[in-house]
Amino acid sequence: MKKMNRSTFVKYSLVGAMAVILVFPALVFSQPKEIPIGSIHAVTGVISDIGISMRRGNQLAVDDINARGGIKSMGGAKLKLLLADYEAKEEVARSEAERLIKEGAVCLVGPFLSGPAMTIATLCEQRSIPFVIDVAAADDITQKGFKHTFRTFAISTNFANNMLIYLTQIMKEKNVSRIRGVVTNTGDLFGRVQGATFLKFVKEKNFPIDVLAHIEYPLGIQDLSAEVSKIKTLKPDVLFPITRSGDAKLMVTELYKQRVPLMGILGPGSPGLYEPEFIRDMKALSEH
Amino acid sequence: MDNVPWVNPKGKMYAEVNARFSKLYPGKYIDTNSGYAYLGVMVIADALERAKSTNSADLVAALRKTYLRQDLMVGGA
Repeated sequence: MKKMNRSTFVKYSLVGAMAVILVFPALVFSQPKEIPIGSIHAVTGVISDIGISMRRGNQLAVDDINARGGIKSMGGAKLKLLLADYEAKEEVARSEAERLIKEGAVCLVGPFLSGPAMTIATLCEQRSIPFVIDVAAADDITQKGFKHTFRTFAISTNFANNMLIYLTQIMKEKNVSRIRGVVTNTGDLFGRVQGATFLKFVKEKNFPIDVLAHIEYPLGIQDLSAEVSKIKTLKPDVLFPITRSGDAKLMVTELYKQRVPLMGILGPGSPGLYEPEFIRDMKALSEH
Repeated sequence: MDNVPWVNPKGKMYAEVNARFSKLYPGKYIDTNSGYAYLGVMVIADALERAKSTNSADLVAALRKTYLRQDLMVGGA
């Protein structure tokens, strides 16, 4: 048998390698890479219904993009969603975002709550990771000069401003010149910012609302009977609540139980009153 | 009554995405939360497409130039 010298061996190996490449080009050249994107939502905790719904929104979009051939300019690279749960807590949001970045997420998307969004935005700025906020709305997050944070949603100022525009129209149509109102909000970042922004606009624009009280309670509260009985004694025309899914249901149920006579409940940018879960659980009360 | 940005009920994209979402999750529909969550990923995908890279600086530059036409939700993304 002829002994194979080094150069012959190299030659045959190269031919072999070429053959593999020719036969299985897909394996070598166009193996689409996966692009990991970190999706961070509160799928457990006090706003879990909202967190689950948002994670599903992220996932459906990823599936749709992959079904349409992925990212075409990058050889059809597929998106891969890395999942994280921040449990509606700021400290968990930071550690979970950190984990997603360590696992290779090139970009983060989420969350609903503004406090956790702020901690994630701060972290992303330090780590140079792009962050697209899908809902969290407190003005501050995108006004701190962060270079890596973007948002698809409106901000608190819009909500407060639009509320007063709509209210002007309603008051004109109904011939109401002054409103006695009570403002309530949850005590997390968005609740506080949204409540304060609304009150600031009312004051600055000298809007004809007499604010009888501004009531704040913690996110995740289990009983609103004391707050609602206080509202009842103040006899407001309109309640301006800034709620979340759990306390929105408590609030409406309690207002009904205690028979609080109101002209209306007008949420100036209030989550909790429109989600499928609210309408399912509250049935007729959601239409009041 | 509430005041929040909402889905575009007349949008083709809304009708199509919502039909599949409701089928996947009976009793649910695309609301402001799931809708903007869907859009968030679309914004990232669009930026990746234009950036042709997963490099942070390239992706940030592409995100800054985002102009996504869509009729799923109201308002520009």
